[in-house]
Amino acid sequence: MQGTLNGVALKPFLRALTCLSKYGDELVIHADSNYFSLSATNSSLSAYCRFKFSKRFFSKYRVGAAEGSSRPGEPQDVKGQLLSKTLLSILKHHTNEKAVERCELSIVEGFPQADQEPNEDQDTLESRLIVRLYCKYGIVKTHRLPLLIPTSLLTPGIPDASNESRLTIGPRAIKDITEHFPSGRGTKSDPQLIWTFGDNDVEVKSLESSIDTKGKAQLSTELTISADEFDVYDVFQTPITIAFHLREFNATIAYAESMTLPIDLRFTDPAAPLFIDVEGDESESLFVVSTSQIHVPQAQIPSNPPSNNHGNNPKKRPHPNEEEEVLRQRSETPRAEKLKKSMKAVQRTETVASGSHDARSMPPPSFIPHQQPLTPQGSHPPVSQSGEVGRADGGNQLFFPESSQPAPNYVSANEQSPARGGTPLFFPLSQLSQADDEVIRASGLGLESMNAEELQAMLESEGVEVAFDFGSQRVKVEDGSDAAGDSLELIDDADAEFGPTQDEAELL
Amino acid sequence: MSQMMSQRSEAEEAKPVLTASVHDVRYFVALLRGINIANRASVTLTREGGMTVTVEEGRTLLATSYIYPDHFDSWEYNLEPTRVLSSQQSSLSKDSEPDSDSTSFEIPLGTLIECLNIFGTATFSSATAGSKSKKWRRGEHDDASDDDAGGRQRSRAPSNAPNNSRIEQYFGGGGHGKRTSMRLSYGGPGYPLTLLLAEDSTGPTTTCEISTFDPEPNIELPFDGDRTVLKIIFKSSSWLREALSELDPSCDKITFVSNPADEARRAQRAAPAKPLFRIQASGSFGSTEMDYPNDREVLETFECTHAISVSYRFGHISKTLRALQSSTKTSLRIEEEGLLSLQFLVPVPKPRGGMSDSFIEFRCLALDEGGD
Repeated sequence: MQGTLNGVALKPFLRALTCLSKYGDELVIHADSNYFSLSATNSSLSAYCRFKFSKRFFSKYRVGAAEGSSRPGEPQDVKGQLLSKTLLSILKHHTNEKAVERCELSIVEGFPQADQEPNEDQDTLESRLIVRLYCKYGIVKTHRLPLLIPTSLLTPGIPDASNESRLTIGPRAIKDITEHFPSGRGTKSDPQLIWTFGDNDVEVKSLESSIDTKGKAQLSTELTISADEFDVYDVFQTPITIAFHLREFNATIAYAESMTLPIDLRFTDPAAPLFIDVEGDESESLFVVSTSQIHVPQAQIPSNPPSNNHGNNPKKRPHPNEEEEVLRQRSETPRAEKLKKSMKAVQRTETVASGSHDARSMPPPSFIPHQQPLTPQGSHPPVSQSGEVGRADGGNQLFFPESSQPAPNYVSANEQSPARGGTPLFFPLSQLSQADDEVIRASGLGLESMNAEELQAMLESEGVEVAFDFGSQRVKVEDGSDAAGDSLELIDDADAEFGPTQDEAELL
Repeated sequence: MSQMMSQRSEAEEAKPVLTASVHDVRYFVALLRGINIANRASVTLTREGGMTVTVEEGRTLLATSYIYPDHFDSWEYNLEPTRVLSSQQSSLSKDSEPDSDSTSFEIPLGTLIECLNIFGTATFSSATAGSKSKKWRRGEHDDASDDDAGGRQRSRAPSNAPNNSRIEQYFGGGGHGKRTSMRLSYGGPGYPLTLLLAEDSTGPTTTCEISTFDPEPNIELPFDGDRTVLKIIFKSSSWLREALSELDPSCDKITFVSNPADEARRAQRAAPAKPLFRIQASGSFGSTEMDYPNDREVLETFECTHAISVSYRFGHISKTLRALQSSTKTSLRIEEEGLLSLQFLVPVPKPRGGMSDSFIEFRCLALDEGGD
């Protein structure tokens, strides 16, 4: 991929990067023949941001290998991932558009399958983003940044248009609203706003959730603005209440303001994510901010949910899942907590699953084959119909990791069983020799704590092998354990024990 | 006053080695700040050369600031009469030394700078405009933190500051805002360095006594001018400053690559292999190369006898950033052995008009790349 930005285009590009860096640390680059897109997702996967720069945004733009050496059948798109701060820190020194004449971005792809076709021309296996800045007086600065291969492309689905509400507002007007809700300097505090769109006016208030109240002085702000502030005010069903966090939203506003572009807001349902579009001349940007279901406020605002909203309520249950699947996200506060709680049931796998958000988006395919067909669907904006299907699947899938997590537990139990099961294998031996029995008792650590059922299960699983060697003795042990009940210690009672077990064996 | 006169008359030997005064310490502070890379600085006083402050780091980097007598409103240097009188024999041996009239001592540099800034008006960044435009000053600070355009911000400050002060000189200095004025005295070995600081004659004055220490020898990194391989003068210090601030701080080493001008030109047609002058560095977030052309607007002077590629620890080179901020031109020289000499020109207005060119010099040993 090669793209050249002139000094004038560098500024909006830099603004976009600044906005992206506020959405997430990792910047995903995707370039195809018509668009160069940059996207970022925040760590909780509750906000997504994508800038698409059309080919014309660049003074030169080409995707494909320079030498034409690429095989013709190969898909002409390039992907890469890097830390957004790295790129930003390089470019931010060049804010003066006169100092930089042009900026060349090129992606050199590594060849991961180099072992098949060793290509020595390429001095590295990793993909790289090369940023070449041509400055005044012929100074050339070349930055080579290693690119990661993105683990998965996170792409939001297309919202259902049938009950969509559309709003358009200028950046200044919306900033006038949001700046009344100061987001704390600390990165931790991220205020959540509840927006109620009525017939004639919009009510915005800060959400006092239990998390926010922790040891903090309460400041509740509420303001009402006329719907006239919006250039387009097309709410599907008034009143409708949505709530979302402000941090990423503010980054979007800052971008729109710096570009003096209007903001289009789209949302369908209180639980579905909010879509924000900011369209420039040669760039379009999409922001998706997940909304949270507000349980408390609905109780607080009695006037709010009319009968129609109740009709929506049954839908709400699946929606969070749907939304989470759409963004493949674990979203903030209430639902995240819910999920976390349920995850706790399976702690061993949780560490694996929650190792990092990137990892989290990856494991499900390995857990469930059902999800794999969805991945391609998700990675390219699906047709709304198939998107629906995908999301419907997604609703179920959300629980797959959980339901599949017990399975790993079984697996791990089985993994342990050979170790434990190894000792029962010797049991028959122990009956042969008193000394052996003593040794095993001393060494067979977990045995005392093992209950009869477990032992039985193990013995059954190992049974065949044992049967070959020790035929009848195996049965004896089984029975013995049955007789022993809770603890195998009884077996250790040596002399007294042999009698009954053998008797029972004879009975069998 | 009469007391002082009597003191002086009664004991000529009590006359301090150095008394100097300056009405605006900002340039003095800027010259010290530029080399504030380690706390212990050795100061050498000479009759002609004024004050030379040297700091070393890791036996590799040597930073020297030259503060000439004409930076001061008054400069009075007397080689201790006591020592000359009391030890005639030692003065004989001293005469055989090259710097017979020099006095040196060590001083905690950080402490000295802090003391000078006790009124908060000793630096360009915080004291540019004084009371006249406090709002503006605050705005500037907000800018810096919001945009995070540190580089740009810094670039603006020093370029504006000398102009401001030059104008202010015509209006009599004190007219705009407040400046810290200083009277400095040093009694001789064993005596503290005494600073008398005041913002104006009616306000409070501060007297600081900073303990001095016996000098310990610094490493000597003599630069042999005859064996210079590369000599570059950047027309503006901003070229080097931008380059250094653009490099990722995670970079371990920085390499200067240079080829003689005619060779580099030839190479440009065939392959892009031989750069005229290139700064390159690589860190955990990738690698960077910066190529500079032989353009008079960028490189005022470029002399390179043969192709070289020398590496230095980036941590050391980046220490020059503070000196770069207050300088206008930069000279970069590399000697045969790889010894780097960076000189930063710092123009200082003379008290009686005109500018005096002072400079800060950094010398740095090359990384031994034998094992590389």
